[in-house]
Amino acid sequence: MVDPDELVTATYVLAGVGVELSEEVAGGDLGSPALEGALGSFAGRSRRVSNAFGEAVMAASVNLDAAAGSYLRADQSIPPRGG
Amino acid sequence: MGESVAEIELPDGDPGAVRDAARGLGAISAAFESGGATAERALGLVGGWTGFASMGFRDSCASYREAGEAAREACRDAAVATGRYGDRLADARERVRKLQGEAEDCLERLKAAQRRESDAAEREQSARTRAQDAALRSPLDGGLSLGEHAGALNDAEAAAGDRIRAGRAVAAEREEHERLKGLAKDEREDVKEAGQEAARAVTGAEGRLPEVTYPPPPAKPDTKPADGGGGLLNTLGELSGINDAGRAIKDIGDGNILDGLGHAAMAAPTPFGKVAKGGKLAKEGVEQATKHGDDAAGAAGRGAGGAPPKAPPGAVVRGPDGRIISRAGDDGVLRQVNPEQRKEIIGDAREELDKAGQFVEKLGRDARHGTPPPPVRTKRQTAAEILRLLGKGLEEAGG
Repeated sequence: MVDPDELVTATYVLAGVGVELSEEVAGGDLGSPALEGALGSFAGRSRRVSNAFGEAVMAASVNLDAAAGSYLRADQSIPPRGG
Repeated sequence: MGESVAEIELPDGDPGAVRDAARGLGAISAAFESGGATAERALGLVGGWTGFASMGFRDSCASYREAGEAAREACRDAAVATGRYGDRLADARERVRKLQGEAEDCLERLKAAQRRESDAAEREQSARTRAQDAALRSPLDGGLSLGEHAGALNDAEAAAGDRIRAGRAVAAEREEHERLKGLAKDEREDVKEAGQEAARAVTGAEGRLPEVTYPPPPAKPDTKPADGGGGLLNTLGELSGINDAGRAIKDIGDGNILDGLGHAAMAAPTPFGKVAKGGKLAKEGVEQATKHGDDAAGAAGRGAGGAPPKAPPGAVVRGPDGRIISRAGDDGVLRQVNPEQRKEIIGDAREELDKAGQFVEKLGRDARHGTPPPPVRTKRQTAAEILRLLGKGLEEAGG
Protein backbone atom coordinates (compact mmCIF):
# COMPACT_ATOMS: atom_id res chain seq x y z
CA MET A 1 0.00 0.00 0.00
CA VAL A 2 1.24 3.50 -0.76
CA ASP A 3 0.20 6.11 1.73
CA PRO A 4 -0.88 9.37 0.10
CA ASP A 5 1.62 11.14 2.35
CA GLU A 6 4.29 9.04 0.75
CA LEU A 7 3.20 10.22 -2.67
CA VAL A 8 3.32 13.82 -1.55
CA THR A 9 6.75 13.25 -0.03
CA ALA A 10 7.92 11.63 -3.24
CA THR A 11 6.72 14.72 -5.07
CA TYR A 12 8.69 16.95 -2.74
CA VAL A 13 11.76 14.81 -3.12
CA LEU A 14 11.53 14.76 -6.89
CA ALA A 15 10.93 18.53 -6.95
CA GLY A 16 13.98 18.80 -4.71
CA VAL A 17 16.00 16.99 -7.37
CA GLY A 18 15.45 19.96 -9.67
CA VAL A 19 16.60 22.36 -6.98
CA GLU A 20 19.63 20.26 -6.22
CA LEU A 21 20.54 20.04 -9.87
CA SER A 22 20.24 23.79 -10.32
CA GLU A 23 22.00 24.91 -7.19
CA GLU A 24 24.58 22.28 -6.44
CA VAL A 25 25.40 20.40 -9.57
CA ALA A 26 25.20 22.95 -12.33
CA GLY A 27 26.49 25.88 -10.29
CA GLY A 28 29.92 26.90 -9.04
CA ASP A 29 33.35 27.12 -10.56
CA LEU A 30 34.35 23.55 -11.35
CA GLY A 31 37.51 24.55 -13.17
CA SER A 32 36.78 22.34 -16.15
CA PRO A 33 34.58 23.64 -18.95
CA ALA A 34 34.31 20.06 -20.22
CA LEU A 35 32.97 18.83 -16.88
CA GLU A 36 30.69 21.83 -16.49
CA GLY A 37 29.23 21.07 -19.92
CA ALA A 38 28.82 17.39 -19.13
CA LEU A 39 27.18 18.08 -15.78
CA GLY A 40 24.90 20.67 -17.35
CA SER A 41 23.78 18.10 -19.88
CA PHE A 42 23.46 15.43 -17.19
CA ALA A 43 21.40 17.82 -15.08
CA GLY A 44 19.08 18.48 -18.00
CA ARG A 45 18.51 14.78 -18.60
CA SER A 46 18.13 14.08 -14.89
CA ARG A 47 15.52 16.81 -14.60
CA ARG A 48 13.57 15.19 -17.39
CA VAL A 49 13.75 11.84 -15.64
CA SER A 50 12.79 13.30 -12.26
CA ASN A 51 9.91 15.19 -13.88
CA ALA A 52 8.76 11.98 -15.52
CA PHE A 53 8.86 10.18 -12.17
CA GLY A 54 7.10 13.15 -10.63
CA GLU A 55 4.37 12.94 -13.22
CA ALA A 56 4.03 9.23 -12.65
CA VAL A 57 3.63 9.83 -8.93
CA MET A 58 1.21 12.66 -9.63
CA ALA A 59 -0.81 10.47 -11.93
CA ALA A 60 -1.08 7.88 -9.19
CA SER A 61 -2.12 10.62 -6.77
CA VAL A 62 -4.79 11.85 -9.13
CA ASN A 63 -6.13 8.37 -9.48
CA LEU A 64 -6.25 8.01 -5.72
CA ASP A 65 -8.09 11.29 -5.64
CA ALA A 66 -10.57 9.97 -8.16
CA ALA A 67 -10.89 6.87 -6.05
CA ALA A 68 -11.67 9.04 -3.06
CA GLY A 69 -14.41 10.67 -5.09
CA SER A 70 -15.97 7.31 -5.85
CA TYR A 71 -15.90 6.39 -2.17
CA LEU A 72 -17.75 9.61 -1.44
CA ARG A 73 -20.35 8.80 -4.05
CA ALA A 74 -20.72 5.31 -2.59
CA ASP A 75 -21.08 6.77 0.85
CA GLN A 76 -24.19 8.71 -0.21
CA SER A 77 -26.16 5.49 -0.01
CA ILE A 78 -25.47 5.19 3.68
CA PRO A 79 -28.43 6.54 5.62
CA PRO A 80 -27.34 9.26 8.01
CA ARG A 81 -27.97 8.79 11.67
CA GLY A 82 -30.24 11.74 12.07
CA GLY A 83 -31.66 12.79 15.35
CA MET B 1 42.25 32.44 -14.45
CA GLY B 2 43.67 30.90 -11.26
CA GLU B 3 45.40 32.90 -8.58
CA SER B 4 48.96 33.68 -9.67
CA VAL B 5 51.94 33.81 -7.33
CA ALA B 6 55.58 34.01 -8.43
CA GLU B 7 54.45 33.65 -12.05
CA ILE B 8 52.71 30.35 -11.23
CA GLU B 9 48.94 30.02 -11.55
CA LEU B 10 46.80 27.79 -9.42
CA PRO B 11 44.66 25.30 -11.35
CA ASP B 12 41.25 26.81 -12.06
CA GLY B 13 38.25 25.68 -10.09
CA ASP B 14 36.85 25.57 -6.59
CA PRO B 15 37.22 22.08 -5.08
CA GLY B 16 34.41 22.94 -2.66
CA ALA B 17 32.04 23.61 -5.56
CA VAL B 18 33.09 20.35 -7.21
CA ARG B 19 32.49 18.42 -3.99
CA ASP B 20 29.13 20.14 -3.57
CA ALA B 21 28.25 18.99 -7.08
CA ALA B 22 29.29 15.44 -6.20
CA ARG B 23 27.28 15.56 -2.97
CA GLY B 24 24.30 16.93 -4.90
CA LEU B 25 24.50 14.06 -7.34
CA GLY B 26 24.67 11.65 -4.43
CA ALA B 27 21.52 13.16 -2.93
CA ILE B 28 19.77 12.97 -6.28
CA SER B 29 20.83 9.36 -6.55
CA ALA B 30 19.02 8.59 -3.30
CA ALA B 31 15.97 10.61 -4.39
CA PHE B 32 15.70 8.59 -7.59
CA GLU B 33 15.89 5.37 -5.64
CA SER B 34 13.03 6.30 -3.34
CA GLY B 35 11.07 8.07 -6.10
CA GLY B 36 11.35 5.07 -8.38
CA ALA B 37 10.19 2.66 -5.70
CA THR B 38 7.26 4.90 -4.77
CA ALA B 39 6.22 5.35 -8.39
CA GLU B 40 6.42 1.63 -8.95
CA ARG B 41 4.22 0.78 -5.98
CA ALA B 42 1.79 3.64 -6.53
CA LEU B 43 1.27 2.84 -10.19
CA GLY B 44 0.87 -0.81 -9.32
CA LEU B 45 -2.05 0.16 -7.11
CA VAL B 46 -3.80 2.30 -9.71
CA GLY B 47 -3.01 0.02 -12.60
CA GLY B 48 -5.16 1.93 -15.06
CA TRP B 49 -2.77 4.85 -15.27
CA THR B 50 -2.20 6.01 -18.77
CA GLY B 51 -1.84 9.70 -17.86
CA PHE B 52 0.88 11.75 -19.38
CA ALA B 53 2.14 8.44 -20.46
CA SER B 54 4.34 7.09 -23.17
CA MET B 55 7.37 8.27 -21.35
CA GLY B 56 9.73 5.83 -22.88
CA PHE B 57 10.69 4.46 -19.50
CA ARG B 58 9.25 1.14 -20.38
CA ASP B 59 11.10 1.06 -23.67
CA SER B 60 14.38 0.79 -21.89
CA CYS B 61 13.35 -0.33 -18.43
CA ALA B 62 11.06 -3.10 -17.39
CA SER B 63 9.61 -1.11 -14.51
CA TYR B 64 9.72 2.21 -12.73
CA ARG B 65 11.67 0.57 -9.97
CA GLU B 66 14.29 -0.48 -12.52
CA ALA B 67 14.20 2.98 -14.04
CA GLY B 68 14.73 4.45 -10.58
CA GLU B 69 17.58 2.04 -9.99
CA ALA B 70 19.17 2.96 -13.34
CA ALA B 71 18.87 6.66 -12.54
CA ARG B 72 20.28 6.06 -9.08
CA GLU B 73 23.29 4.22 -10.47
CA ALA B 74 23.86 6.81 -13.20
CA CYS B 75 23.81 9.60 -10.61
CA ARG B 76 26.05 7.62 -8.31
CA ASP B 77 28.57 7.03 -11.13
CA ALA B 78 28.49 10.71 -12.03
CA ALA B 79 28.92 11.58 -8.36
CA VAL B 80 31.91 9.26 -8.03
CA ALA B 81 33.58 10.65 -11.16
CA THR B 82 32.94 14.22 -10.07
CA GLY B 83 34.11 13.53 -6.55
CA ARG B 84 37.29 11.91 -7.83
CA TYR B 85 37.96 14.97 -9.95
CA GLY B 86 37.26 17.20 -6.94
CA ASP B 87 39.88 15.31 -4.92
CA ARG B 88 42.35 15.53 -7.79
CA LEU B 89 41.71 19.26 -8.14
CA ALA B 90 42.14 19.83 -4.42
CA ASP B 91 45.41 17.85 -4.36
CA ALA B 92 46.73 19.64 -7.42
CA ARG B 93 45.90 23.04 -6.00
CA GLU B 94 47.66 22.11 -2.77
CA ARG B 95 50.74 20.93 -4.64
CA VAL B 96 50.76 24.02 -6.84
CA ARG B 97 50.46 26.21 -3.75
CA LYS B 98 53.60 24.52 -2.42
CA LEU B 99 55.28 25.13 -5.76
CA GLN B 100 54.19 28.74 -5.57
CA GLY B 101 55.82 28.96 -2.13
CA GLU B 102 59.02 27.40 -3.43
CA ALA B 103 58.92 29.71 -6.45
CA GLU B 104 58.54 32.72 -4.18
CA ASP B 105 61.64 31.63 -2.24
CA CYS B 106 63.37 30.96 -5.54
CA LEU B 107 62.58 34.44 -6.83
CA GLU B 108 63.87 35.92 -3.55
CA ARG B 109 67.14 34.03 -3.98
CA LEU B 110 67.24 35.11 -7.61
CA LYS B 111 66.84 38.75 -6.67
CA ALA B 112 69.54 38.42 -4.00
CA ALA B 113 71.90 36.82 -6.53
CA GLN B 114 71.11 39.56 -9.00
CA ARG B 115 71.90 42.17 -6.36
CA ARG B 116 75.18 40.40 -5.56
CA GLU B 117 76.00 40.25 -9.25
CA SER B 118 75.24 43.92 -9.71
CA ASP B 119 77.22 44.87 -6.59
CA ALA B 120 80.22 42.77 -7.69
CA ALA B 121 80.10 44.35 -11.14
CA GLU B 122 80.16 47.81 -9.57
CA ARG B 123 83.07 46.86 -7.32
CA GLU B 124 84.95 45.42 -10.25
CA GLN B 125 84.40 48.54 -12.31
CA SER B 126 85.48 50.76 -9.43
CA ALA B 127 88.64 48.71 -8.82
CA ARG B 128 89.56 48.79 -12.50
CA THR B 129 89.11 52.56 -12.54
CA ARG B 130 91.35 52.87 -9.49
CA ALA B 131 93.93 50.63 -11.15
CA GLN B 132 93.84 52.77 -14.27
CA ASP B 133 94.23 56.00 -12.26
CA ALA B 134 97.17 54.53 -10.34
CA ALA B 135 98.80 53.42 -13.58
CA LEU B 136 98.46 56.96 -14.97
CA ARG B 137 99.89 58.54 -11.84
CA SER B 138 102.82 56.13 -11.60
CA PRO B 139 105.25 57.92 -14.05
CA LEU B 140 104.60 61.19 -12.25
CA ASP B 141 105.25 59.92 -8.70
CA GLY B 142 108.26 57.79 -9.54
CA GLY B 143 106.42 54.48 -9.34
CA LEU B 144 104.90 55.07 -5.92
CA SER B 145 101.42 54.34 -7.31
CA LEU B 146 102.41 50.91 -8.67
CA GLY B 147 101.51 49.25 -5.36
CA GLU B 148 98.10 50.90 -5.40
CA HIS B 149 97.69 49.78 -9.02
CA ALA B 150 98.43 46.17 -8.11
CA GLY B 151 96.02 46.27 -5.14
CA ALA B 152 93.25 47.73 -7.29
CA LEU B 153 93.79 45.00 -9.88
CA ASN B 154 93.51 42.35 -7.18
CA ASP B 155 90.27 43.93 -5.95
CA ALA B 156 88.96 43.97 -9.53
CA GLU B 157 89.79 40.27 -9.95
CA ALA B 158 88.08 39.39 -6.68
CA ALA B 159 85.01 41.40 -7.62
CA ALA B 160 84.97 39.73 -11.04
CA GLY B 161 85.01 36.35 -9.29
CA ASP B 162 82.06 37.41 -7.11
CA ARG B 163 80.23 38.68 -10.18
CA ILE B 164 80.72 35.42 -12.02
CA ARG B 165 79.59 33.34 -9.04
CA ALA B 166 76.56 35.58 -8.53
CA GLY B 167 75.79 35.30 -12.23
CA ARG B 168 75.89 31.52 -11.97
CA ALA B 169 73.53 31.68 -8.99
CA VAL B 170 71.19 33.90 -11.01
CA ALA B 171 71.20 31.37 -13.84
CA ALA B 172 70.63 28.49 -11.43
CA GLU B 173 67.71 30.24 -9.71
CA ARG B 174 66.17 31.13 -13.07
CA GLU B 175 66.48 27.51 -14.07
CA GLU B 176 64.90 26.43 -10.79
CA HIS B 177 62.07 28.89 -11.27
CA GLU B 178 61.45 27.53 -14.75
CA ARG B 179 61.48 24.00 -13.35
CA LEU B 180 58.91 24.94 -10.71
CA LYS B 181 56.78 26.64 -13.34
CA GLY B 182 57.02 23.51 -15.45
CA LEU B 183 55.90 21.30 -12.55
CA ALA B 184 52.95 23.61 -11.92
CA LYS B 185 52.06 23.54 -15.58
CA ASP B 186 52.14 19.73 -15.51
CA GLU B 187 49.81 19.78 -12.52
CA ARG B 188 47.40 22.12 -14.30
CA GLU B 189 47.45 19.93 -17.38
CA ASP B 190 46.90 16.80 -15.29
CA VAL B 191 43.94 18.47 -13.63
CA LYS B 192 42.59 19.54 -16.97
CA GLU B 193 42.87 15.97 -18.18
CA ALA B 194 41.22 14.75 -14.97
CA GLY B 195 38.36 17.18 -15.64
CA GLN B 196 37.98 15.85 -19.15
CA GLU B 197 38.08 12.29 -17.85
CA ALA B 198 35.37 13.14 -15.32
CA ALA B 199 33.37 14.81 -18.09
CA ARG B 200 33.59 11.61 -20.17
CA ALA B 201 32.47 9.56 -17.18
CA VAL B 202 29.53 11.90 -16.55
CA THR B 203 28.57 11.77 -20.20
CA GLY B 204 28.74 7.97 -20.03
CA ALA B 205 26.57 8.01 -16.90
CA GLU B 206 24.10 10.30 -18.65
CA GLY B 207 23.77 7.62 -21.31
CA ARG B 208 22.66 5.19 -18.61
CA LEU B 209 19.83 7.45 -17.41
CA PRO B 210 16.40 6.12 -18.35
CA GLU B 211 15.04 7.34 -21.64
CA VAL B 212 12.25 9.84 -21.30
CA THR B 213 10.33 10.55 -24.44
CA TYR B 214 7.27 12.73 -24.25
CA PRO B 215 4.58 12.34 -26.84
CA PRO B 216 3.48 15.52 -28.58
CA PRO B 217 1.01 17.38 -26.37
CA PRO B 218 -2.64 16.69 -27.18
CA ALA B 219 -4.63 19.45 -28.86
CA LYS B 220 -6.20 21.80 -26.34
CA PRO B 221 -9.94 21.26 -26.00
CA ASP B 222 -12.13 24.27 -26.70
CA THR B 223 -14.28 23.76 -23.63
CA LYS B 224 -13.42 23.50 -20.00
CA PRO B 225 -13.44 19.94 -18.62
CA ALA B 226 -16.32 18.93 -16.40
CA ASP B 227 -14.15 18.66 -13.29
CA GLY B 228 -13.47 22.34 -13.23
CA GLY B 229 -10.57 22.23 -15.65
CA GLY B 230 -6.88 22.34 -15.23
CA GLY B 231 -5.93 18.83 -16.30
CA LEU B 232 -3.10 16.96 -14.69
CA LEU B 233 -0.78 19.79 -13.81
CA ASN B 234 -3.49 21.94 -12.24
CA THR B 235 -4.81 18.98 -10.37
CA LEU B 236 -1.40 18.70 -8.80
CA GLY B 237 -2.14 21.86 -6.90
CA GLU B 238 -4.74 19.96 -4.91
CA LEU B 239 -2.33 17.52 -3.41
CA SER B 240 -3.32 18.40 0.10
CA GLY B 241 -6.83 17.47 -0.94
CA ILE B 242 -5.41 14.22 -2.21
CA ASN B 243 -3.84 13.69 1.18
CA ASP B 244 -7.12 14.10 2.93
CA ALA B 245 -8.97 12.18 0.27
CA GLY B 246 -6.49 9.37 0.81
CA ARG B 247 -7.20 9.43 4.52
CA ALA B 248 -10.89 9.43 3.71
CA ILE B 249 -10.39 6.26 1.72
CA LYS B 250 -8.58 4.64 4.57
CA ASP B 251 -11.02 5.81 7.23
CA ILE B 252 -14.08 4.81 5.25
CA GLY B 253 -12.44 1.54 4.31
CA ASP B 254 -11.88 0.90 8.01
CA GLY B 255 -15.53 1.64 8.70
CA ASN B 256 -14.67 4.97 10.30
CA ILE B 257 -17.22 6.88 8.28
CA LEU B 258 -17.33 10.07 10.28
CA ASP B 259 -13.60 10.63 10.23
CA GLY B 260 -13.67 9.66 6.60
CA LEU B 261 -16.24 12.37 5.95
CA GLY B 262 -14.15 14.79 7.92
CA HIS B 263 -11.10 14.05 5.84
CA ALA B 264 -13.18 14.17 2.72
CA ALA B 265 -14.32 17.64 3.70
CA MET B 266 -10.71 18.59 4.22
CA ALA B 267 -10.09 17.32 0.73
CA ALA B 268 -12.37 20.04 -0.64
CA PRO B 269 -10.49 22.40 -2.93
CA THR B 270 -10.00 26.05 -2.06
CA PRO B 271 -13.36 27.37 -3.27
CA PHE B 272 -14.59 25.74 -0.06
CA GLY B 273 -11.64 27.31 1.63
CA LYS B 274 -13.44 27.99 4.89
CA VAL B 275 -13.53 24.28 5.47
CA ALA B 276 -10.03 23.70 4.24
CA LYS B 277 -8.64 26.67 6.13
CA GLY B 278 -7.10 24.57 8.87
CA GLY B 279 -4.98 22.79 6.33
CA LYS B 280 -4.08 26.03 4.60
CA LEU B 281 -0.43 25.98 5.51
CA ALA B 282 0.08 22.39 4.51
CA LYS B 283 -1.87 22.94 1.30
CA GLU B 284 0.09 26.07 0.46
CA GLY B 285 3.33 24.24 1.06
CA VAL B 286 2.32 21.47 -1.30
CA GLU B 287 0.92 23.85 -3.88
CA GLN B 288 4.06 25.88 -3.81
CA ALA B 289 6.28 22.85 -4.01
CA THR B 290 4.24 21.39 -6.84
CA LYS B 291 4.26 24.74 -8.59
CA HIS B 292 7.98 24.62 -8.19
CA GLY B 293 7.86 21.16 -9.70
CA ASP B 294 5.96 22.64 -12.61
CA ASP B 295 8.65 25.27 -12.94
CA ALA B 296 11.26 22.55 -12.95
CA ALA B 297 9.26 20.68 -15.55
CA GLY B 298 9.12 23.84 -17.60
CA ALA B 299 12.83 24.30 -17.22
CA ALA B 300 13.39 20.73 -18.36
CA GLY B 301 11.19 21.39 -21.34
CA ARG B 302 13.30 24.36 -22.20
CA GLY B 303 16.39 22.20 -22.00
CA ALA B 304 19.43 22.18 -19.78
CA GLY B 305 20.20 25.79 -20.54
CA GLY B 306 17.00 27.00 -18.88
CA ALA B 307 17.10 29.35 -15.91
CA PRO B 308 17.13 27.73 -12.48
CA PRO B 309 13.57 27.02 -11.34
CA LYS B 310 12.14 29.40 -8.77
CA ALA B 311 9.48 28.84 -6.19
CA PRO B 312 7.01 31.23 -4.60
CA PRO B 313 8.36 32.90 -1.46
CA GLY B 314 7.93 30.64 1.54
CA ALA B 315 7.67 27.36 -0.40
CA VAL B 316 9.30 24.41 1.35
CA VAL B 317 10.81 21.19 0.06
CA ARG B 318 11.00 18.11 2.26
CA GLY B 319 13.31 15.14 2.21
CA PRO B 320 12.21 11.50 2.16
CA ASP B 321 12.21 11.45 5.95
CA GLY B 322 9.89 14.45 6.04
CA ARG B 323 12.55 16.92 7.12
CA ILE B 324 12.39 20.32 5.51
CA ILE B 325 15.37 20.63 3.23
CA SER B 326 14.86 23.95 1.54
CA ARG B 327 12.74 27.03 1.77
CA ALA B 328 12.22 29.69 -0.87
CA GLY B 329 13.34 33.19 0.02
CA ASP B 330 11.74 36.42 -1.18
CA ASP B 331 13.68 36.05 -4.41
CA GLY B 332 12.05 32.67 -5.06
CA VAL B 333 15.34 30.77 -4.77
CA LEU B 334 15.12 27.65 -2.64
CA ARG B 335 17.86 27.46 -0.08
CA GLN B 336 18.78 24.86 2.49
CA VAL B 337 17.34 25.73 5.86
CA ASN B 338 19.21 25.45 9.11
CA PRO B 339 17.79 23.44 12.00
CA GLU B 340 16.42 26.56 13.76
CA GLN B 341 14.51 27.71 10.70
CA ARG B 342 13.27 24.18 10.18
CA LYS B 343 11.85 24.06 13.72
CA GLU B 344 10.13 27.38 13.14
CA ILE B 345 8.49 26.18 9.92
CA ILE B 346 7.41 22.88 11.45
CA GLY B 347 6.05 24.67 14.54
CA ASP B 348 3.93 27.03 12.42
CA ALA B 349 2.58 24.19 10.31
CA ARG B 350 1.86 21.97 13.30
CA GLU B 351 -0.18 24.68 15.01
CA GLU B 352 -2.33 25.11 11.93
CA LEU B 353 -2.74 21.38 11.49
CA ASP B 354 -3.84 21.03 15.12
CA LYS B 355 -6.54 23.59 14.44
CA ALA B 356 -7.50 21.64 11.34
CA GLY B 357 -7.77 18.44 13.36
CA GLN B 358 -10.12 20.09 15.85
CA PHE B 359 -12.26 21.42 13.05
CA VAL B 360 -12.50 18.05 11.39
CA GLU B 361 -13.51 16.49 14.68
CA LYS B 362 -16.32 19.02 15.02
CA LEU B 363 -17.37 18.42 11.45
CA GLY B 364 -17.48 14.67 12.07
CA ARG B 365 -19.83 15.19 15.05
CA ASP B 366 -22.06 17.47 13.00
CA ALA B 367 -22.21 14.95 10.19
CA ARG B 368 -24.46 12.72 12.31
CA HIS B 369 -27.37 14.94 11.40
CA GLY B 370 -26.86 14.99 7.65
CA THR B 371 -29.26 13.73 4.98
CA PRO B 372 -28.33 11.95 1.70
CA PRO B 373 -27.41 14.36 -1.08
CA PRO B 374 -28.41 13.91 -4.74
CA PRO B 375 -25.91 12.16 -7.06
CA VAL B 376 -22.95 14.30 -8.07
CA ARG B 377 -20.32 13.93 -10.72
CA THR B 378 -16.98 15.16 -9.41
CA LYS B 379 -14.96 15.25 -6.24
CA ARG B 380 -15.29 19.01 -6.05
CA GLN B 381 -19.04 18.80 -6.39
CA THR B 382 -19.15 15.85 -4.03
CA ALA B 383 -17.36 17.74 -1.32
CA ALA B 384 -19.54 20.79 -1.85
CA GLU B 385 -22.66 18.66 -1.63
CA ILE B 386 -21.48 17.06 1.56
CA LEU B 387 -20.85 20.43 3.13
CA ARG B 388 -24.19 21.76 1.99
CA LEU B 389 -25.83 18.67 3.32
CA LEU B 390 -24.14 18.90 6.67
CA GLY B 391 -25.22 22.50 7.05
CA LYS B 392 -28.77 21.60 6.14
CA GLY B 393 -28.76 18.64 8.55
CA LEU B 394 -27.55 20.92 11.32
CA GLU B 395 -30.29 23.41 10.63
CA GLU B 396 -32.91 20.68 10.63
CA ALA B 397 -31.59 19.18 13.81
CA GLY B 398 -31.46 22.58 15.45
CA GLY B 399 -34.97 23.45 14.23
